[in-house]
Amino acid sequence: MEQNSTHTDMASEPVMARPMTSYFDVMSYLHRIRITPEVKESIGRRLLLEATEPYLAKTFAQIDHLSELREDWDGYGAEKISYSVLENLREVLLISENDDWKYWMISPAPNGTLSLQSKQHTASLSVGDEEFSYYSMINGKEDWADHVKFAPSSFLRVMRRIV
Amino acid sequence: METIKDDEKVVRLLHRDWVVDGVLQVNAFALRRDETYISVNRPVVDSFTEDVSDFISTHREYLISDESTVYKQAVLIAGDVRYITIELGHSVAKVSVEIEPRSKNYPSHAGIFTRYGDKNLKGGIQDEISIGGTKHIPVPAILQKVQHRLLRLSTLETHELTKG
Repeated sequence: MEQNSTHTDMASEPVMARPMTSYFDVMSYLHRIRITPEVKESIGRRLLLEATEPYLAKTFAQIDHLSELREDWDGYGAEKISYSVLENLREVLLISENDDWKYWMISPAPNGTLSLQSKQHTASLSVGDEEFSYYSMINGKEDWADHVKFAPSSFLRVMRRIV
Repeated sequence: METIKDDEKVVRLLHRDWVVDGVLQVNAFALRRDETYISVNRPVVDSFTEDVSDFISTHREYLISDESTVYKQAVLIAGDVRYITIELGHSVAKVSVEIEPRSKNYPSHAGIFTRYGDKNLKGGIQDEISIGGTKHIPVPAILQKVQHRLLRLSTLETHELTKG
C-alpha cells in the first residue's frame, strides 16, 4: 500500500507501491492529488530551476547518488546515509538559490550523516537526523558549533555566512 | 609494540565519494560511531601492496569508477600527525593524535587515534571533555577539528591497482 510522505519529520522511509520514474508516472500522480493552479505553477518553476541551474542540479544529483550507498559502503562497517539526513538536505535545497551551492561539496560520513565542505575555506557542516554542527577557520578566525537543532533556514543561514 | 617513526608515510585509502571534483573531503578522516581510530596502511611494510590490492579488489567502491582500475589515497607523514595539538576557542585540550600498528586484518594496517589523556576519543559519541572542571569541549567538535587538520596535512595521490 502506498504511503505518502507528507510530514517532513518522518524518520522512516516511505513505502511506495511502485517507484515513480517516468514523466507519466509523476504527472499522473500530480493530477491525482488536489493542488491548486498556483501550487502547480510554483512546482513547475521550481523543477525548471532545479533542472537548469547547474549547482542545484548537481547537488540534487549528488544527494540522490549518496542515498544509494548501502550498509558497510566503506568496507569498515559504515552506516547507510540516514533517510532523515537526506531529506534534511533536500529541504535546504528547496529553499536555496543556485549560487548557494557554488562553493560546497558533499560527501558521506561513516556514521550515516553527510558533510558539506567549502571549496574556499577550511570549513565544513555536518548534517544529522535532527541536529547539525559546523566548523570553520577563516582568516585566522575560528567558529564552531555543535548540537544545533536542524531547521532548513538556520542551516542555510550558516552556509551563507561561511561562504 | 612497534613504533612508527616520525618520517614514515602512512596512507588512507579513499572511497570514491571522499574525493569530490578532485578535492579530498574531510569525511575521509571521520570516525564511525564507537570507533576509536582511523584506518591507514603503511607502505614500509612488505605486505602493503598485497594488502591494498586485496582490500580494493573486494571493495571496488574504492576505485574511482566501476570501469576503472585506478584508486586514490591520502598520504600523511607520521610525525606531522603525531604532533597535532588541538585548541578550540579559548579552551586548550591537550589532545594527542597517535599512529599505532594494528595488524589484525592486514600486516600493513595501522590506526590514527585521537586521545585525551589515556582515553581514546570515539566517533558518534555525544561526550564532552572537561577542562579545569569548568570548561567543556564537545568531543565531536574536537574530532571535526582533527579531521580538518589531517585533511590539510594530506597529499592526494592516484594509483593503478596492481595484483599483489
